[in-house]
Amino acid sequence: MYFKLAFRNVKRQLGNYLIYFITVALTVALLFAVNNIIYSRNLAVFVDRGESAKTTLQIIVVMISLVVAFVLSYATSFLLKRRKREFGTYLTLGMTRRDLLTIFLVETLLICLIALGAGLAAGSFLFQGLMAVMMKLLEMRFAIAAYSAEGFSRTILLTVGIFLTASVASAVYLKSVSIYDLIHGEKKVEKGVRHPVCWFLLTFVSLAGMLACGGLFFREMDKVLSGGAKLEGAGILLGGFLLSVVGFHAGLAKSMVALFLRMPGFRSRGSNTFVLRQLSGSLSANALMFGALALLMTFAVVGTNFSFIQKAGQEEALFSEYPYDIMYYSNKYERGEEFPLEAAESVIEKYAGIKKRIPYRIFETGRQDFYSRTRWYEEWMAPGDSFMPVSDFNAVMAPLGVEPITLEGQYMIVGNNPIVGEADWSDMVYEWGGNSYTYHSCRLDYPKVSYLYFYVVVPDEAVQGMECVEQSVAYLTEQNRFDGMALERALRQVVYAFPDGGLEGMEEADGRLEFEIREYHRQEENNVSAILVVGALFVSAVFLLLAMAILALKTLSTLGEDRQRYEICFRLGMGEREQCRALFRQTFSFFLLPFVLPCVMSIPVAWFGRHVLRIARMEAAADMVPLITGIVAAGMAILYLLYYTAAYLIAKRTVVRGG
Amino acid sequence: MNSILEIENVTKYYGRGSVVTKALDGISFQVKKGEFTAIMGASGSGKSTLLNVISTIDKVSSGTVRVDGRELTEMKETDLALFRRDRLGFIFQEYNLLDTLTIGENIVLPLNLRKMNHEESDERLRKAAEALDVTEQLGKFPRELSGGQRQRAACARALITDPALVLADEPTGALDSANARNLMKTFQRMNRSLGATILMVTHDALMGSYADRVLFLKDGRIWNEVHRGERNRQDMYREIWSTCAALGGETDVF
Repeated sequence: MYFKLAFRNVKRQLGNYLIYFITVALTVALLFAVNNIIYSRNLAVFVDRGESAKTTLQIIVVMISLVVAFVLSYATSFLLKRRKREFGTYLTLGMTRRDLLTIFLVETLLICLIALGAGLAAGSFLFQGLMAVMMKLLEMRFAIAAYSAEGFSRTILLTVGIFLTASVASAVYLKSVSIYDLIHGEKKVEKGVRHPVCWFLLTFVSLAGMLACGGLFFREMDKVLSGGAKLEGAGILLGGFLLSVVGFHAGLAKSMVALFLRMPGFRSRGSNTFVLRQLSGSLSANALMFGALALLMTFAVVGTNFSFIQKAGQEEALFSEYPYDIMYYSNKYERGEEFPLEAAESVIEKYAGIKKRIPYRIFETGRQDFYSRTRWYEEWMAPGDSFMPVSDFNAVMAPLGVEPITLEGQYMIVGNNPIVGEADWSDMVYEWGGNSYTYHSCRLDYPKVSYLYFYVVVPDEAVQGMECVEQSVAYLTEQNRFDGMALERALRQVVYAFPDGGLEGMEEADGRLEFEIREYHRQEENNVSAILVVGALFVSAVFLLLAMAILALKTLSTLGEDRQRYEICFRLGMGEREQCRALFRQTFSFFLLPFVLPCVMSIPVAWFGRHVLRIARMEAAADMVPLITGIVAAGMAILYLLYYTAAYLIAKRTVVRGG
Repeated sequence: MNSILEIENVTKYYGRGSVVTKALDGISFQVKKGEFTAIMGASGSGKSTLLNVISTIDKVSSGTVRVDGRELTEMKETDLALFRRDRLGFIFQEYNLLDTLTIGENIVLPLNLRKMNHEESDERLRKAAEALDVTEQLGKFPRELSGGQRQRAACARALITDPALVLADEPTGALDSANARNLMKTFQRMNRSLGATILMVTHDALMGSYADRVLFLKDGRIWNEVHRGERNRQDMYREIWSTCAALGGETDVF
């Protein structure tokens, strides 16, 4: 009998359960998609760091499931409270609390089962979509990915866990609530907001705090990125920012309506007083929740944006870090004996083909004339000065499209580190071999062909008498795309097969390799960014989903009272259109409050992302940042509109009274 | 005197197919300007249905309803809302004050919906509050007031737009007898001093005795009609009582 009753209730309460259904279905879809990615055989083959990626994603999934369970507990208690009069009646008719719980659990179980089915169906498509993104990020050709039984069973397990956790909250409520409260409702005494001006001050102070902490954090980061300074007080600044976000929303929710109500001209217009009073209670009662939701959504925005910005900058960063397809760095201090490069080159020839090889050298004097003018020297971290003959420099730069330079009695400093830019050599005359060399320029924008902090490019005759410490080679390969991972493994075998490699104490697997293969690094970074982007997308989607679900459920939980109020307004002559407008303003303001800041955060995030990329001289990636943040903001807006529209339509159907 | 309300041959059916209930069966009557009319009858006699069709909340199946010279049955929904807002005042059994609004905001809400400027609406609020003796309560919320005070506030809200017709649906239903009598005196004052035309539905003979005229409904038809004329309230009450007894004794009589 209870099952029949529960089944009928579900049919009757479909409107109320819609938001719950959407949330469970979308959560299941996300869990299913991510679980299948974790256990995908297609990816396991390619993701080199498969195990660590898998573990990271597993931890994320479990953490997110806990959050979902908490939110769904919240959601179920809303559904319960909406129908307390009905449950009170059941109790007065002689049902036990256990019967009541059975009915409610059967109802939610039915909804969860249907949502599970819908979620698995949607998740199947979502999985293929996410796999397409992963494949694209990993630069693999897309093929329909196989579903894994483990991914499926884990999704079911997590959903059951979420359902059981949510059920406990319902059981606790039904066990403790009195019949009187169920029938008559808990006597809620609406208190007006006291001292709205103080709350407004809190809003203002929090806003100032947010701007100050955000600004200082960006400034600190800027110093770190452009000057190599240490990041100081970042934790305090971030903490201050998060606290300010909560304070800002709590203050705004408490003060905004109260201040509007003090404006007689504004409030006397149409249904403004009614809407403001409707909002007053709900905003004030949920002030802290708004802060928490705004934080969740801000995390979602920042995380997603930075994961995409990182991806956008990846290609340029790769070319900046590894301008040649393959580079061989040979340092005599690390390797005592001469290395048989021919053996390694035959391996390179086999995997990628050698189109061109450009040797270049680095010399040392054992002095620190140039380093003495840098911060490293002051910090006792300076090595000896390094020199490159200008002919070698021109030779290694020419294939990269750099114009050859001429140095006659001059020297040029070339570096990649911003600290180099701080030093001043303009008045320094360098003496070597009886000759004098004057300052030509200091450049930080040349392609990186050395791991040195900086080197000094000098006329060829200037290196006479210096010791050659590096005989490196840059290679252009025949093939643009080749299996970098395989080549790296093959070269590693060659290097470590060589007796007394000079790389003391290092094992083959984790030891340094003197070859830098761009395709190897590209594949490595693809793995990292694939995990980063998909992980960030998943977490952000769940955070947004939960925030929207809470807002929607909060809106719907008061529909009973709203219905009576709109009915009175209808009788007083508030037409259907005016009721719709009032409801729209009421619900839209409620939804909008925690959403504005995360959306606005897209602007500083975009600015900062662009700034960081420009510091790293990644202009093309920097130009893409506004597009990325725009897409992220649009994605959020779509999810927001989906939930808002569902909530508004349900509310409209329930409360707006027509003729 | 001009007729404010003209009901002609109004019929109202509920349901469809084989299960049809005839709630109003060809009712016709008029209410003149400044008149205080009560409608009485047993449960299911059609009192509330009649009030609902007059207040434009429900539609008639046939017949015409004219208020202040305007034919309601032919008006569109938007115009009906405007008509309710501008020409009708409502007083309900459960007060129907909005719990989220202060008493002042409740009373002035119909003027806000008209988009009247706040200086004028504040002036009207002051007068209405004084007339109904709720000035002290304007800043309070409904839950902070007694039932009688709430109903007086509802009266002030009904009168603030200077409506052509005030419709009251069992206004004393939620009040104790002392508050109920006080409310009826307020109704008389609204009618006599402020010139309000009132149409009140009640099943209480004592409350009906405050009206100038009482219409008795039975099975959706006007069964009888009692006029006060020059009689005092006690005589009016006795006549209502005896009419009720003749009607079938189903109406409460005190």
